[in-house]
Amino acid sequence: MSEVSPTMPAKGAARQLLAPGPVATAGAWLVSALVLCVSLARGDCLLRHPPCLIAHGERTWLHWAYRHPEPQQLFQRIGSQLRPGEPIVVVAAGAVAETYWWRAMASYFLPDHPIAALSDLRRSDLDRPPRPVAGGPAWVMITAGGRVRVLRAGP
Amino acid sequence: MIGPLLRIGLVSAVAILAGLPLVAPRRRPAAGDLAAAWALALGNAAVLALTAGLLGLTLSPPALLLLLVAPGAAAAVLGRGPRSEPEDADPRGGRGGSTGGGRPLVGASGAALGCALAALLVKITRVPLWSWDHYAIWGVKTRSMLAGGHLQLGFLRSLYQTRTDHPLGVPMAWLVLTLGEAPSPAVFKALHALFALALVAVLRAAVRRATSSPALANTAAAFLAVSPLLWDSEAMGVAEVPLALWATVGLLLGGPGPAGPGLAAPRSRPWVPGLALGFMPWIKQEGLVLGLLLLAAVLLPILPMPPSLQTARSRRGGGAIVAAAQLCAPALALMAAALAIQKLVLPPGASFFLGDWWRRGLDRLPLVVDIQRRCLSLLLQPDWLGFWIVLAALTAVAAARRYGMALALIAIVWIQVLVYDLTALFTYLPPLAHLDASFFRICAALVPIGLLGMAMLSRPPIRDSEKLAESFGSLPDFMTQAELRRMREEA
Repeated sequence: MSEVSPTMPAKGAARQLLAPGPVATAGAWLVSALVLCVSLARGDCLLRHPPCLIAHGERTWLHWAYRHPEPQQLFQRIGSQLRPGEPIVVVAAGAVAETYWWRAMASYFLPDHPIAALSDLRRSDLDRPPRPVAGGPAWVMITAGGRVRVLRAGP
Repeated sequence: MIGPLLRIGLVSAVAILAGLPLVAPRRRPAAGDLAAAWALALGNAAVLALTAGLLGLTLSPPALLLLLVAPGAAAAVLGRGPRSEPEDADPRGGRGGSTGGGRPLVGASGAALGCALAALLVKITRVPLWSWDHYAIWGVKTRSMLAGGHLQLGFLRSLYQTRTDHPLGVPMAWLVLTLGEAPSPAVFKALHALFALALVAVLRAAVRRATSSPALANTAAAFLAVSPLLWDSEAMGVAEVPLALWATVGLLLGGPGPAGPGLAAPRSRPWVPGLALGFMPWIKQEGLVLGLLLLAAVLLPILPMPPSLQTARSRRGGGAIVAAAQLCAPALALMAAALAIQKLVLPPGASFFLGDWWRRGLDRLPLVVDIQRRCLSLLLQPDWLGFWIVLAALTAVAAARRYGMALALIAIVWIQVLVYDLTALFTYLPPLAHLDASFFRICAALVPIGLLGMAMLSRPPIRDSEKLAESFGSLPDFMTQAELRRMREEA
């Protein structure tokens, strides 16, 4: 006589009913294999120098959004030369064209130092730097190589 | 760097302990439960901290810890009658049994998951934090909104071309984890890794619960790890992963068990998933629409069904109404509060619907075909690994075979895609440029919901669920003993 009663099906029968069918099982095999191959290929790509960054957002926006490498170090160098709460004028190559970048990054890294203005840095400015106005904002000169000079009118 | 990471680790441990009384009261938690508890406690703490901050209270580290612990402690002390039996976690000492494709498939899918997670963690380590939205919106708010323990939002007006009216839930959740210390880019990356791992664990648990198959759970989690939501480093430090996390937590806690809508058994007290779904508009503005849609999906199985579809379990009458009210009340209250803060507290930003948006939409009607073409081309990018193509094919299957909850989830994904698609018609931005800027990224947050819906297709459709209900004696795996006893008596 079977142990399965009409009102009490065998233990595990529900799990059997709920087990994925052959299509779902085949799909799971396929997706697992796909993920394995993709992960291995991407892992190999990542371990190269420099790592290849080719996801959609990286292809589309990385170089637009991350145009100055190591922004954290750059703004740390700037911040270390500023007085508390001191407003600044950023003087850098293409600063006016990249206003949004400099303002966003300064708000992020130097929240206590409002940007009073932006000015483009030309090669000639390196020899004859602008003269900051007395009592006005500090002028932060940033070269393309990432060197930083802070100019003030007074002590 | 070590100090902040240790602090985040300790606060995370506290968050898990604080969330467990809500998520898994008095039962052995699985990894997904721990992740859900962590997220739920963080979300609750972020809401409380923002409220306290707006009221002028100081958000010192002890105060933040108190806000983190308070909801879970209240639930543990005041909660009545929590269930004590284990639910659908892996059996003690086991690896989830051999159902759902056999041990080789469980092993293969587990290996795929492990490889995908390892590659993801290597990537997070090696890639710089570069996402523009992180620097211009989410990161800058996190670093500036708490000064000396005081919430100060005046800086929002001085930010350059940023979304001042975007919600503050995610920045506050990050600040709760750092106990108020402004995170550095490296700490932001660590926070992103935590959220990504939590999302993978929660999706794995949700699929496991919905299908009873560890193999499908591993497969879905592995695919999520290689999907653009987690793989594309543009998502680092922004709010897409948190939005997907809280949506999936809501579905894990409020979604039906493995036997279909007729036997839907919410995993926790009804109001707990309401807390998770209610937090979604605190994360992103589109969280409101998505949260409401998911709330409806979670609500459907709770409500009384037509007599023709009723099973013994679903004849719960007034109890169902009370459960529905308990689910909706916290969710709708939180959503209303998020809207109120956006309208009354945050400075008006450059709203996407600036100006005469209706007129603008009408003027752009000739562009509809171009917009659809652009959306389609973005969804067919190889980065998706065929996700949207498979989802489209399975949508037809789900509709044809009356897969209730699976169909609901897949439909929600498509509705949300349509919302993003049509929004481009009305915004003040040039529509195609707007789509290029964000459509791909925001659609990525829908992948976990789509994966859960697709996985649910592996279980019986509604008619078979009714047959299953008739064989109720074999369902102790995911039903409470009391419910089982009641059904036997009814039979």
